Amino acid sequence: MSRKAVKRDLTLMIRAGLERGIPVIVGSAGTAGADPNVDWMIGIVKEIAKENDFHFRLGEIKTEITKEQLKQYMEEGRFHALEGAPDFSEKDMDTLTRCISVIGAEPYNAALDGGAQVIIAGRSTDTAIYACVPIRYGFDNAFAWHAAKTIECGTLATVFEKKHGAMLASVRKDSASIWPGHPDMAASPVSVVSHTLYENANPYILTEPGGILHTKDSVYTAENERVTRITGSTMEKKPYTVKLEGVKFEGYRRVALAGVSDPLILKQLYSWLETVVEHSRAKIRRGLGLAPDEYRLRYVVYGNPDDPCTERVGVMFDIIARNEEDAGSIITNVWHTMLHVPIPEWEGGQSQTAFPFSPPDLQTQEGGKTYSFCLNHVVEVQDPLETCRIRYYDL
Amino acid sequence: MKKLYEVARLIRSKNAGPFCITMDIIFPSHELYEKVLESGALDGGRIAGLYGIDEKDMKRYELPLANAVKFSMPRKYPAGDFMDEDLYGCQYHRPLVLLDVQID
Repeated sequence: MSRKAVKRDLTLMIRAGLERGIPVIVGSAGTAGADPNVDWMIGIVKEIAKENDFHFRLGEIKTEITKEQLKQYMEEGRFHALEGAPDFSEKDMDTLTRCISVIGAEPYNAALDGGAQVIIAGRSTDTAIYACVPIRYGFDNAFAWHAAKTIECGTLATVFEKKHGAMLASVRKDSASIWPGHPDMAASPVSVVSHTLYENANPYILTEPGGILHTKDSVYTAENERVTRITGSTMEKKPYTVKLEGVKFEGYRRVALAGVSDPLILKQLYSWLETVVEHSRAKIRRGLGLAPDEYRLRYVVYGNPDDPCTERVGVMFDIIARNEEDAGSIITNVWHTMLHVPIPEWEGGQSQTAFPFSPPDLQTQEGGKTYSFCLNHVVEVQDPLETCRIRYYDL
Repeated sequence: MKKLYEVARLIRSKNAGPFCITMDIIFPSHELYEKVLESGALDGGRIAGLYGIDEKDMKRYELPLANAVKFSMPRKYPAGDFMDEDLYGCQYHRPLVLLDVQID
């Protein structure tokens, strides 16, 4: 999201929250929730306060953890891999660019206790920003989390998403009720239960830092045509664990997109592409002095070249190099090679690809810097606040 | 015989974290849900075969309250890996859409 769009949305929320005395809570700031994302958003909030003459206490929750912390967790045997996690041990520490902890509800409530009227937090579970509210009022139960899980994606849990917007929930000792804000929209038992499927591997087990929400015995009933009540859910308390997300730096990416329409190339597209790769690699070695293991190269074909109805397929070449300059040189070699690799059916000079713009290659954001996930782990903590840092700004 | 898309209300796929793909098949009525389950079209082994993975790696869940069946499987490449072609995992459901179901 652009700074302008985020500022616009935050201004609306902060103004309404301050006028009504309702705390405004933002989790996973800037999407990733790393420290620079939080700093970026804190800067926007400060600017909003200044420009609108708003005065309030801003709470900042940072959730990034250092390599030293991570090493300590490993040494103390508190660092555990989740199923299917990539291997990661102390020897991989140098490859780790950033590591963030995914916090639960407790840090939000600590910041609210500290008087924060607006909270900007690093990475947290999507549900925690909602569940912290009922928990704060003494409803630390399955329904706080089940309601939070249902409303976390807004109106996605409605019968028909006429407009995208917010959902409301009320949480009790033995139930929760869910409904959309929009008066012409509805949350039905089917739409609510269906949301347990969403972005979740197992619809009956939802793992949160402090335990597991079990929905196997949940009952969903219509209170009226717009409101659905959840009963029967249970929370199994577990030793507190905080999930970690971590990335390693892969290099600098550059891509080229091309259309291929000549039927004589299409009938041999994959072998032709392999020739393109072979010729490109030879040129890159000769001209740039780079061996094949010093960069990564792949292509992806869009469309089926073997279908006679296909008039054109898309080819994307994608490379990652150790530095930005090499990335640019490599992709130029690739697309220029692709343009002219001949097929035996034609004689003479041939130009094979339709590029949709000039120059025919693109860089992803920040000079093509590319990262990959390298952690799918949890750490056991004694204190739910131990992986985060809270501070306040009186604006 | 029918294709699964002809009897389902929604067939979709999405990431469930960066290392797992999850796919939902939601039917418009309990009757159709029951009928398709009885036909065996959505048996775990069959769907694992469809995706070329071991049956033990394809997790299967029935959610009768939503008239839904869910399958979850590990990703070949994590989301955003250099070899990944579907960052959010939104287009893994194609084989299910075209699946044959033995019902009339």
